Amino acid sequence: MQRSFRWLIEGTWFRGSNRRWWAGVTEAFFATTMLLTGTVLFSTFVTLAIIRSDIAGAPQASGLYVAVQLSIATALVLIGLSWIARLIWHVGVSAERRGAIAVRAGELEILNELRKRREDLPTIPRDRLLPQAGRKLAFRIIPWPRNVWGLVSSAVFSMIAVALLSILVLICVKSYFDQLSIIKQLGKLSEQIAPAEISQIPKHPWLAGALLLVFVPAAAWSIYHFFRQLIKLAGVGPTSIELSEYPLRPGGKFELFLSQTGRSRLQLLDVDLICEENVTYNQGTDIRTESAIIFQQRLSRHRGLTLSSGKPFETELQFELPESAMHSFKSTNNRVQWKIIVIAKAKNWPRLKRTFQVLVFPKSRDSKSPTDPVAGGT
Amino acid sequence: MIWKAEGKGEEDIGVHFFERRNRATLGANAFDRPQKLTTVLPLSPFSYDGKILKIVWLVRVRLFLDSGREFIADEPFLLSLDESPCRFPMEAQE
Repeated sequence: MQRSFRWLIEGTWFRGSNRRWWAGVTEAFFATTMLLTGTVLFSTFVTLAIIRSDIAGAPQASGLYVAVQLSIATALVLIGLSWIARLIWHVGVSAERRGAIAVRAGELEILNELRKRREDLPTIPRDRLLPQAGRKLAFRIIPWPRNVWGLVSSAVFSMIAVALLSILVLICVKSYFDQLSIIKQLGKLSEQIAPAEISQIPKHPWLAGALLLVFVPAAAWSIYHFFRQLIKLAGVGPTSIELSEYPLRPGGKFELFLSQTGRSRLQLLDVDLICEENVTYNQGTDIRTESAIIFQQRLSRHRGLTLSSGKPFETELQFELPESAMHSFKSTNNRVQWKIIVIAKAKNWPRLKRTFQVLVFPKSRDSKSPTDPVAGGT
Repeated sequence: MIWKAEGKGEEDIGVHFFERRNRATLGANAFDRPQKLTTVLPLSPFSYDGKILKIVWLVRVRLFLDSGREFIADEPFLLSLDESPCRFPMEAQE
């Protein structure tokens, strides 16, 4: 009895990384619930106000009452959004970085130099997002796609789906009660029913019900997807990659600094360097894209890492590009892309893959060539 | 002077240098002596022999005859700092 009681309080379920996992999940759950509850309430109050105004003779709620309802719903949405933003910020940003968010003038000069050199190489693709000044090394590479975009898009989609679902539920419920009312009236003598009342019988109440069958799984999936995205970011926070030189060049040696934030225990953290060919072609009326990895190198592998809020895992490593490496290339239908890929696996968390596209310039013999990388100091 | 990206994907062509010589420029004995052209080769793209993509450089000469016929001649060349194109597979470093 004592042993089982002790297990209940100090059992493995609430130890170490499991405690962190539960903390992250609980916080994400409450933030999501608040956001979606606010969305449901907002759409419900608006729909009810519209329904009441359409029904002649229906008692109208006072403007103040409606304003209070909408304010409560809006407050819930804003609190949910800010809670999610705070969750991501505190998990993803170390204390030092929070104090060092600033772009120094010298670093802007480096970036302008990069832009100018790229003009001499028209088939070299442009960075979707220009690198920023790093904390430890010269350049910080921005991941693509951005970590947050997945979360933002799934949040917007789930809010829209939940709002539409709320409206459909209200319409269905209203239609159901209207039907009940009409049936009761039809129970009276038929001559007592005015033609105007008959014309108010809902014609197609089943249409809203049919749409409900479609929207319920869509809304459920969108909520699940959004929650999963939030868990991913809350548990395994943003990844930061910094390089000593940028762009890279074949045959060159480079330093890489990795910073991984989060609030979980990672079973595995891999950093790979990949070169990929991407081609696009027409097959009939379809446009198809095919990719082939032509170079892959494991830069580092770490096991059993413990991440905590404000204390990211950091490591530095060196790597070298092959002499015969092809530079980055982009034309209308064909590409050669270099990427640094970070894969994180944690128990009870979804597997994460972060992609950092890097540019490799053609190598040159001339030391003054524009293909020479821009080396920056830290 | 053009580069072509070809392979499994749709072919892309980039024109680095273009010159048109007409009757007045060529002269009467145009085919009796070699014609020279001069250009500075670009820094990219390098010649490349990949898995599903190849990049080749060539000089293309297109002749327009009075009869309306056309002749095309391609002479490929290597654009690289080494004596071979960038090639797949590249050996991974340890």
